[in-house]
Amino acid sequence: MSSPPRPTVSPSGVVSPRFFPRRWVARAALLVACVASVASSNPGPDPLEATSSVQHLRLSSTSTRSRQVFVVGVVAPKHPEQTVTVGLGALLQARWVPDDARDTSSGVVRARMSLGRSQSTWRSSGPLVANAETPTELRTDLPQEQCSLREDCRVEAVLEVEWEGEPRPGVVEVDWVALGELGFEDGLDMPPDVTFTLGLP
Amino acid sequence: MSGAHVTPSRPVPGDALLHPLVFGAVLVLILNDHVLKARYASWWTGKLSDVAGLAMFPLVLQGLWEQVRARGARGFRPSSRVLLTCVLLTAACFGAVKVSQTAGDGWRWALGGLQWPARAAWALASGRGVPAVVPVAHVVDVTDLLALPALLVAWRVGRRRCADDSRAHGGPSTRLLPMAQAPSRG
Repeated sequence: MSSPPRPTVSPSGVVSPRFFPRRWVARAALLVACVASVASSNPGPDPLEATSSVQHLRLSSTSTRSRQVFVVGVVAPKHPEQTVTVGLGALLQARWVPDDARDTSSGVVRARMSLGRSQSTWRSSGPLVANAETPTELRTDLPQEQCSLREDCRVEAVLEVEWEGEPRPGVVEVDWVALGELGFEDGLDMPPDVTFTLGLP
Repeated sequence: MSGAHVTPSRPVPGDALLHPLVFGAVLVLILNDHVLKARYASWWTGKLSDVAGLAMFPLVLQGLWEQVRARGARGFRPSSRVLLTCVLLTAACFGAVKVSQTAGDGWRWALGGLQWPARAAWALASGRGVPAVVPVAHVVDVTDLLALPALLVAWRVGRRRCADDSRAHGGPSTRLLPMAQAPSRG
């Protein structure tokens, strides 16, 4: 009387499908695990971008500094346990309008931004040119701030602008726009109904 | 195991992944990354992927190594040293990408690069242009290091596999043996 077939089970508990080619089963499992590893993270949703309308500041020989405070807000009504990153920058254009058209000495404009506790360094423009057709451009960016969506996220932002150099009679007109970017780095989907505002008209 | 006949099966390259705990971790990783994260994005879905990944990834590395090393060889035995190297390598890389922004960015681009061929093929099949390589989403979060003990799953499963092989076939299992020297089964 022949004995019943013995199950092929490794003491370690490793599955040993006796009737399958074990080598190929292992290869298939390895392939699945490799694909699972490579596909374990997605690029995530595209960041939300926000741009303010053009804002205006005016510097003069008697008032060489100016600042504007605004509040950047991120609100997700369902308050998911998700973290987002807020990036903020500003693009400025400065135009030097001297009282005396023959006055060409003007200095430079510099600017910096802060968002919450992070602050950018001062960034300076090139030398201002009197009544130039092409305004001097200047860009300042902040390191990204992380923000939890579990509660409404509102962070105070400040743009400071200075006219550097020996002030001359006349004004420096500064037009600027705030550029915001909201990045989603946790989870695969953008939270529903999330709003990102720069607090500027 | 009274009454059960147990015959140690000869290990084959990569078969540590067939252990129920390890293959279960692979399935959890897939389910979590592609279903649970999308529906219930939360801190625990992030941690669950880390735990599942750490439980299985060293054995994936070991399996790849074994597949390459065993190619053309007539016998195979799992190696504890390779296992240890894979566990330590996984721990080091995981720790780096969870602590360092630079390492995290490297990971984002590396994984984005590995995903690119599939994305490009899908885009072409859909009649779209070839997309650029884009980095994957990744959060540098030191609290994810709490998942590191999950490496013990890979370590224990791998060690047991080596120990079983040693017991069944004698001697330390640290090298490839020619088939002629490998004892026959049952």
